[in-house]
Amino acid sequence: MNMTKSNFEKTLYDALASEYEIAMQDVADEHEFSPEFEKKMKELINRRNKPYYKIINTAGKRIACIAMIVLIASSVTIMNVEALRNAFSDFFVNTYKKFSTVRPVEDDSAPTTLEEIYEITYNINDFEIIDNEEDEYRRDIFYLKDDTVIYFSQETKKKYNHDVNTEEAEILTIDINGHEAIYFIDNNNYYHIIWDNGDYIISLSSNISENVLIEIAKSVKKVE
Amino acid sequence: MIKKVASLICAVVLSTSFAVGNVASAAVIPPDAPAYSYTNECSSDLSISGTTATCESSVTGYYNKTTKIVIVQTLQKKNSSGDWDYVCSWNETINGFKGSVTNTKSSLESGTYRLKTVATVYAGTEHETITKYST
Repeated sequence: MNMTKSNFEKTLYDALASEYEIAMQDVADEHEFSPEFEKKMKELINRRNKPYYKIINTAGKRIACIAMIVLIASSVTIMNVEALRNAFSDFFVNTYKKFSTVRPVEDDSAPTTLEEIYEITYNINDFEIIDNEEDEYRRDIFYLKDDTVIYFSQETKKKYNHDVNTEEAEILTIDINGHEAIYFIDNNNYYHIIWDNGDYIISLSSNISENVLIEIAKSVKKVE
Repeated sequence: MIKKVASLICAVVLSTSFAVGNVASAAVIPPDAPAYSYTNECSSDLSISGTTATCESSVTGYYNKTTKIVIVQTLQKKNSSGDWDYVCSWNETINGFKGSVTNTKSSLESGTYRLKTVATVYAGTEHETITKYST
């Protein structure tokens, strides 16, 4: 028996439609996903929509991002520590618990030997020089009056690298004739003033009064 | 979102601790290290000209307090592993509150050298030991 296509479709529909409707009724009640699943799907969709999704879309990329953050944070921290170390305009000062290492900022134009002589011009004629050491890089002079000591030093910038007693000391700065000087009082009640006068490092330490030592520092002048 | 923020904070805190820890460890002084009680300042300087090294160490104590300074200079050479090998040393005692020592060593081989200065600074029977390296 020959059957047209349209007749075949109609016959097929009549034969299957009732079964289809019965089968579809079984799935008519839509499945409800759990709230956790819905939340997870929402998060996935949101994450996919983020502009930086491609940067963090795999575990490897996420690890790389965290490593980068760690590196950047480390660098920032180290730079901050360096900044603390370089808090003085003319010196690098590394402060440890019991002492500080003081080094001048490199200056290739500074004299490498003592070409000029600086002296205290403040009147300390009543002091006696008890020690005087001098070479081509450094002059040390110790003045004494009773129990009061003034230690004066002139040294080339290239050679200057001293550990100084800053235990329990707070390192401050003061102005000495337009130069920023490092200034502190140590645990033996000695005042210390160290400055770069442009050519040399001048340092004074003394148990004389603070104001007088500052006046002495300001009086240091080139004499030769 | 909270997890992400927490992760970032953890990463930053950990890395910050790591960096600070490294710097701090460089500055750690052993707990039994002596105070700077009798030492005002010290320096350790090495200069090399040709094959001759000039080693200068200077220690200043406090007048009427520091009585004696024993300075041991050790010239060291860097080896291929990055450690420092002994080359030679000098020992000098200074009776007083300050002093400096200069020694020379000739016929050096090529390489990187440094001067280690160890000063034992006395105030009567008490003493403290400080160490300073040339740069």
